[in-house]
Amino acid sequence: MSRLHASDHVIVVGAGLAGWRFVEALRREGYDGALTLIGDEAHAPYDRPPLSKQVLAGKWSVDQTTLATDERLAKAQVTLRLGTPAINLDVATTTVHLADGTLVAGTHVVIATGTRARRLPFRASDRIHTVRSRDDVAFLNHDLAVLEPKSVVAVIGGGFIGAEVATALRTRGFTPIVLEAAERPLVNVLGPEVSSWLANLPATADVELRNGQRILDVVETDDGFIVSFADGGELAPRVVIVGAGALTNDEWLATSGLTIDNGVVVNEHLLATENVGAIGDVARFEWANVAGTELVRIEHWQIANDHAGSLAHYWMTGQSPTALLVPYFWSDQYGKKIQMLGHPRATDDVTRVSGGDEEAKWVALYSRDGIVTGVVTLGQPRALMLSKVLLETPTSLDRALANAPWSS
Amino acid sequence: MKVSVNFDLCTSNAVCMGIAPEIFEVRDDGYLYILNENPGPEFDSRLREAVASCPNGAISVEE
Ligand SMILES: Cc1cc2nc3c(=O)[nH]c(=O)nc-3n(C[C@H](O)[C@H](O)[C@H](O)COP(=O)(O)OP(=O)(O)OC[C@H]3O[C@@H](n4cnc5c(N)ncnc54)[C@H](O)[C@@H]3O)c2cc1C
Ligand code: SF4
Repeated sequence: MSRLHASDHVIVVGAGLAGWRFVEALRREGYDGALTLIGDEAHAPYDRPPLSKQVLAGKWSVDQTTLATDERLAKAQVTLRLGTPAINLDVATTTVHLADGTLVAGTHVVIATGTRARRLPFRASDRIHTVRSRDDVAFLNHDLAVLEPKSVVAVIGGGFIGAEVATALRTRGFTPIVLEAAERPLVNVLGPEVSSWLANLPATADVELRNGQRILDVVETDDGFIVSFADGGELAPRVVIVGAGALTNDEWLATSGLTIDNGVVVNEHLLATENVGAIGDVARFEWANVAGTELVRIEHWQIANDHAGSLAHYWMTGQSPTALLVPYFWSDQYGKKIQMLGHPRATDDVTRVSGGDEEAKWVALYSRDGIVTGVVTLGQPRALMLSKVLLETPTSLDRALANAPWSS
Repeated sequence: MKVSVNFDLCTSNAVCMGIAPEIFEVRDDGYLYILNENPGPEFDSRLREAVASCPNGAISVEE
């Protein structure tokens, strides 16, 4: 495989967490050739998790989410091309086509274009907020600014983003009402048991959650919106926000010849070809884990981070990490911290090994065919990280229960 | 290397402990403790990983 040299030119498309961390990692690895970072947003790379937490709650200014400060940008010696989407990639010549008509030709390309918020096809769709970017939050804050205290805000979707947004709105004195389509939030992500242990959280934070909501349409009125439901009911919120998952930003690669299938498909080294890699939310990568190897796409902050470091290291040294990648995810919602290690499925078996609903603190193990596949905790960071060993080498559920690393 | 944590930013999520438990420990009281402020060079790569992995950018190391 080809190592990077000073005469190379690495082009990173997507100036989010993965793209920026790749730039930093490549310089840290000693790369001294040309480096270009292309992004469609007008902002230098910033961090998204605080947007739905501290920023929306009014505790942080958006500036506090900046990752690529002027000082770090200068240190990274990177050519920034912001506010210009890439519209095509010529794989053979590793040339990126930009929407303004310019071409950027390099020797290596990193695809880090992430995901965007899914919109729902209601009549008022254009006026319904999503929370994915700084601009989204600015637009939302603009609409919230004119509301009286306690105004009703509909939050469509009770998943991670919806829950965090509802928590932040409640902190600001609004009345969020969470409209969840399933029988319970997160049931399709965490499975029936774990989702049931979280069912009371909204109430403890004084947030109203309505499950099993079939929304027919959302229309705009003079002073807000009407949400209409399949059962004939209606709700009249002043603002509507949707948190209904994300879609991959890979349309710009449609004619590139790369394999696009729910993300950019790459191998265990995060490569689509020798000179083209994909990292972060948009990458569907071959993940070696305790239960085998599978093709996954994981929308976690830490994955974007890890991918960036791994690809930079691989291109500089020809080496990939020897340890298994253990995904980590967290969500701060309703005043509690949910944390997860691994990438368990909603259909995996679940064993609660400590705590209970009453104390709102617990540790749950996920397993498949008797092998531990994940750990999820509520308010137990220490126990979670002590359990990481269970996912670093294949561990049977019996052995995990006997060793009980979470309580050491 | 000298390790320091900005405790105004730290949320005690224990990510650093998952990477370098010899250096970082979140105890049952919910606080992060630095067990070794001057770890040897054998910790260099894991320390760098901890710095990059802290979701709050709370860890810094001085060479
Ligand atoms: C509100 C919010 C809260 C979150 N909270 C958590 C959390 O608590 N815990 C957790 O683990 N994860 C969380 N995440 C997920 C985490 O932020 C993502 O996993 C991470 O941002 C992925 O980084 P990325 O660089 O792959 O993609 P992104 O951050 O999406 O960055 C991709 C960038 O590429 C740009 N782009 C797209 N198409 C093009 C194009 N054609 N040309 C040029 N540029 C393009 C995009 O505009 C964007 O700037 C949260 C996400 C959001 C939105
Ligand atoms: S990873 Fe960062 S936020 Fe988490 S405990 Fe360590 S220093 Fe604190």
